[in-house]
Amino acid sequence: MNDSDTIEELLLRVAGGDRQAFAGLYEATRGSVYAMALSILANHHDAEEVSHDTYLRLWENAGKYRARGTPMAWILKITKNLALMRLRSSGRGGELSEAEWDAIPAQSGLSVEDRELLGDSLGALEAGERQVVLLHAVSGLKHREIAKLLNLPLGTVLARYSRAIGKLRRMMEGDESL
Amino acid sequence: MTERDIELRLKGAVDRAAPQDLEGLLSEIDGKGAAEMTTNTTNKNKKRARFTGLIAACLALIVLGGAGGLYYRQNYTVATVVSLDVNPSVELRVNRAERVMTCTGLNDEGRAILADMDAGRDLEGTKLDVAVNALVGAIVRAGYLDSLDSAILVSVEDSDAARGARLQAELVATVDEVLRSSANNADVLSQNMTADKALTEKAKEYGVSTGKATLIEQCIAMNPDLPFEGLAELSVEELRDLLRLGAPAMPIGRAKAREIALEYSGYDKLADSVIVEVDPELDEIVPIYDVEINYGLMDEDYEVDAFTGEVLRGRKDAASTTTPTDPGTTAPTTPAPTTPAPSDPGTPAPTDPGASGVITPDEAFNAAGAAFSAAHPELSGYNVLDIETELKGSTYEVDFDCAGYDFEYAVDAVTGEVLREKTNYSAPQTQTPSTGGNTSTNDIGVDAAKAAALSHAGLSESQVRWLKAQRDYDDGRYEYELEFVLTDDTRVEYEYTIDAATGAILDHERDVDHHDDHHDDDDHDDHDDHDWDD
Repeated sequence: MNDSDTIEELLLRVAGGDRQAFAGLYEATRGSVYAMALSILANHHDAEEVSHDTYLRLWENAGKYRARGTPMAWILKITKNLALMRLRSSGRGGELSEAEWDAIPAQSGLSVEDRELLGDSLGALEAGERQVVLLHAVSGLKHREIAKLLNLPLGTVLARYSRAIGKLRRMMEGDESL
Repeated sequence: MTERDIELRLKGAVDRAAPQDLEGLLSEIDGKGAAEMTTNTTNKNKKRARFTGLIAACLALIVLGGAGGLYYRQNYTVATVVSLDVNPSVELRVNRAERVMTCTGLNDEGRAILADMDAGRDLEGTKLDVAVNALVGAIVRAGYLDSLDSAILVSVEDSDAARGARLQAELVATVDEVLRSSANNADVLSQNMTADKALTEKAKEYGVSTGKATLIEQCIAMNPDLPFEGLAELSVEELRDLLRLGAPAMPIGRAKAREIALEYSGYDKLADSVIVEVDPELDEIVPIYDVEINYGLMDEDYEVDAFTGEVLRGRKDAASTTTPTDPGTTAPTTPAPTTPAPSDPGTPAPTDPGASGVITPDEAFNAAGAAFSAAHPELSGYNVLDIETELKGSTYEVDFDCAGYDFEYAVDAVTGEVLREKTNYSAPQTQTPSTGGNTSTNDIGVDAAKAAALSHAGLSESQVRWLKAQRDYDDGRYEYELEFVLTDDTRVEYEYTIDAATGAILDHERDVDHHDDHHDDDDHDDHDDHDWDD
């Protein structure tokens, strides 16, 4: 059984009102869902709330999942829609938030390295690069799935990813050399 | 530091920063009880029961709020009025012996359903359940209940509440049986009501049944700004979902969604040659109309915001890239096919070669596509890409790629006859992979294979020059063999072997050490805009 099978199985059980399955689904996907929300909203607080809403929607709508594409892509589509609705309702509009990158939780036990990576390194990327790298490295989507989800040509996704990894590598190696 | 190291560090940091609020969520969902949509399309009973409850609740509100208009039918010959609504609306008037006295199509689609039944007269005198069985069967065959979320509404109007309730239960069972026997998962909604003269007259004015008018009134009760006339155009499925949404605004409707998608895609210029299917998905988190445009072998999918009409997904001007040769300029004006496809469900318009001497490019492509499908059934699951159709003298040359191979067809521009096929492809002879789970129809395509190799190499399309991109059958499976060099430094050569079914990298090799400084700063969309639908 691969991850998709597991998530699909959990979704089916959630559709039947299984709270234990809901907890399992949450643990298995919360990082991916948060990364999707963060990649659009650029703000920890907003991404946290959208993640929360995503799981409430999943609880109410798990029965609507149908085996077309991967279950993870379906879940992330819900997150994406909720994040975009939040952008629209806040008047920011667009596909990506223009707000300043602010991904550090106010209260957390994050290490200095994590804070630098989430704050300075990701913050130095362009919004489109950041989105692609988060969706691939954290949410686990394939490049072609990202292209489909974001309605971008695959070449654009690959180019952005290549640039983002190059920039991150230079920043990280620079840090290590200090 | 490798790419994988970077990914793992990033994933770890985001996972640690992600909210950990399971307890809060669990306490919140406790208040909501079990998931509302505990059934999918395989379990209709629960959905039906829930919606019937909603209808009953809303109906009670209407009756209580407007009881002054209640009207009890005095005509002794008609005991019960039964209506069936999907998009077609059909009304049956029934006597006390439960036999059909009249059967009437209330709208054009309803009348079309009855066309094979002598406009409904064939059903007169038959038992009510037999007539309902025949009507639902005809509606299913016409394709009106094909989409997963489609719905049929059964309304029973009877002054005798007990009899009405019994007939409602019996008819729902009849409809359910017809749907089950045709493997259809449509929702069956039902309601039992007493007559309301004002509503009946209003329903008649707008060509809908009293049952559907009741649904419409429920929407208006939620949002008085919604126009009855506009709502009457919506299907039962749309009305059902609109009620579930709380009727926030007026949906644009399927016809408008179709028009918007056609214009956005540029296929409006080829409207006579495309098949369009519009599926309302108002129950999505962002309510949309899903519009699928089929042109020859090409599929384009569009999502149109159900309330604003904004195109949320889909390729703009797709027609210009899939049909580089404009039919309007290369072919003499050919009269449009005479049978426009109905909006829902569609059937392909017949081609009409030779109407003005020369067939259109899309007809030429359709002819080539038919020949291709017949000659290469083993490629039926592959995307057809990069189609070019060009009129040269009295022959169309139709070129396209499939499964990584070039196909070229010559089509007689007058008769539509396929004259020859030219390709570098040859079908596998004896080693069709019939075991092992990977069938030949499960192929990622050469572009996805290239993308996998580029992704692995950390390069973009513009940074490389391709030397080889070939699909082979080896070791019991299809593989893509790829070779490329860096454009900036052709001494750096890469070789990849990619599993054609899964995209997995089976083997890779790089001739010289990798240089890290090749980062393309442009962001042009030079990669083909292929359809990446799974």
